[in-house]
Amino acid sequence: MEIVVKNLMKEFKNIIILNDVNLKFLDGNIYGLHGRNGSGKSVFLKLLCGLYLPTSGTILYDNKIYNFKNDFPPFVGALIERPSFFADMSGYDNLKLLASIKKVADDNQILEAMKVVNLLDQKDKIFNKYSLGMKQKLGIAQAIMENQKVIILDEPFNGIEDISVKKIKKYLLKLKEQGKIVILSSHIIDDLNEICDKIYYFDNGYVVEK
Amino acid sequence: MDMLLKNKMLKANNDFLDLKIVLGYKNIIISIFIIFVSDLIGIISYFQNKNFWSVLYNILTNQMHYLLLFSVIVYNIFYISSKFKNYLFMSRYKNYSLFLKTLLKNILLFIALLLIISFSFILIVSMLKSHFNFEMINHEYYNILLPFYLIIYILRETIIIFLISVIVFYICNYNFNKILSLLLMIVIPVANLFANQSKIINGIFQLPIIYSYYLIKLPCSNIYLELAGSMIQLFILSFIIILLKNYDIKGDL
Repeated sequence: MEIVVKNLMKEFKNIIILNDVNLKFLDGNIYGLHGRNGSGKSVFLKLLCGLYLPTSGTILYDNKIYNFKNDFPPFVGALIERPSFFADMSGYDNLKLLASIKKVADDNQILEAMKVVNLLDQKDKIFNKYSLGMKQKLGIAQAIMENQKVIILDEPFNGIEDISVKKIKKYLLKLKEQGKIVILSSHIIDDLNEICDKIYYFDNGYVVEK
Repeated sequence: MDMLLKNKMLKANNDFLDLKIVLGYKNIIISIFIIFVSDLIGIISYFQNKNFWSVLYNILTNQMHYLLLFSVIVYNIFYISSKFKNYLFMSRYKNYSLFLKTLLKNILLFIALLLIISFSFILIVSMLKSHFNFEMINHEYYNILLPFYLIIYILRETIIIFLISVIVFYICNYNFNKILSLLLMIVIPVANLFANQSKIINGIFQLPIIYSYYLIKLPCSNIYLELAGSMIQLFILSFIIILLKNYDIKGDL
């Protein structure tokens, strides 16, 4: 799997968010996206997921363009911004409902994903009763449960306690060993330095390698 | 028990989203309650006749009944769409149009359920109110049996409700101007309040083009004229749906 971003530009109402971005993501690597809040990291990740259309330029997954107008990239598991789950359902039921769409993840995979994020003992708790950190963990669990080739996580460690962060980082390194592409965004550089092979810095619409 | 039921429903059919969980019991109960109220308005406002077909005809053609019915439908389409229209769900489908198709299928199923509940209630009350008097009578304007007319009417009513629901669904889920969308959402139920046809329609050019006129009593000089009007109305609504379906979404999701 190879993701190639060519001359990518994105603007909203004539404000340029991303300008001439050229990046390449390869198998078996963890990539970090760093930049202050509002630097365009989340927009870039939404473009990668096919939820946004580029103003110009292309994103190619193995030479194929994916976006909501044709097909969503089928091999991406993503957590972007605050995920909206069903408030009256348990964390486990929420994951089960999502898993029922693709029919890829079985019960064991769902439980395994919850275990990775240290949420197994809270699986039957109603989502509404989850703390901010637990909601974030559930967001990560849904992104990893289907064992996708590309994992995209936007500010994944927000609100999560250190023990769980360590466990998740260890898991991401395991995914790297399995040959997956992991793309993480964070405004905290230390989080990225620890596990990323490459870090890209987002500033004023431009992206440079750190 | 509730947990077991949830698991069973989640496993039961992957193509159908579990609206009971999504909507929540409170929402479903409120929707059904408003449907009952909408039926009751039609029932209470008609006292005169003691014939089952006549009672049924008068309840079904009450415009307040449709004001409430469409309000419930529009609200639920908005609510369900807002719950599902996020990337967690969308991105798990092959593409956005398949996501919309699945969501629409589920919404129409829910509306069908509401209509069945509403119609069953109207049927029971009509029977009780008419003291089970099923005597065959003619339609008030046309020389045809009222039960025969009612079959045509119910078929037309059901098709119009489904077509309007599809239109509302597309307006909800496409990136139209928010104020325009909201205005349309209000106009669609409220249109039922302004439907009033007391003069007899004699020609095809006098036929109303607003859908709500085809849910109330529409006095035409003959049944064929009303049928022609119904066909034109269904064609107009279908045409709007085709336009919406082929609309190229502007901007992002």
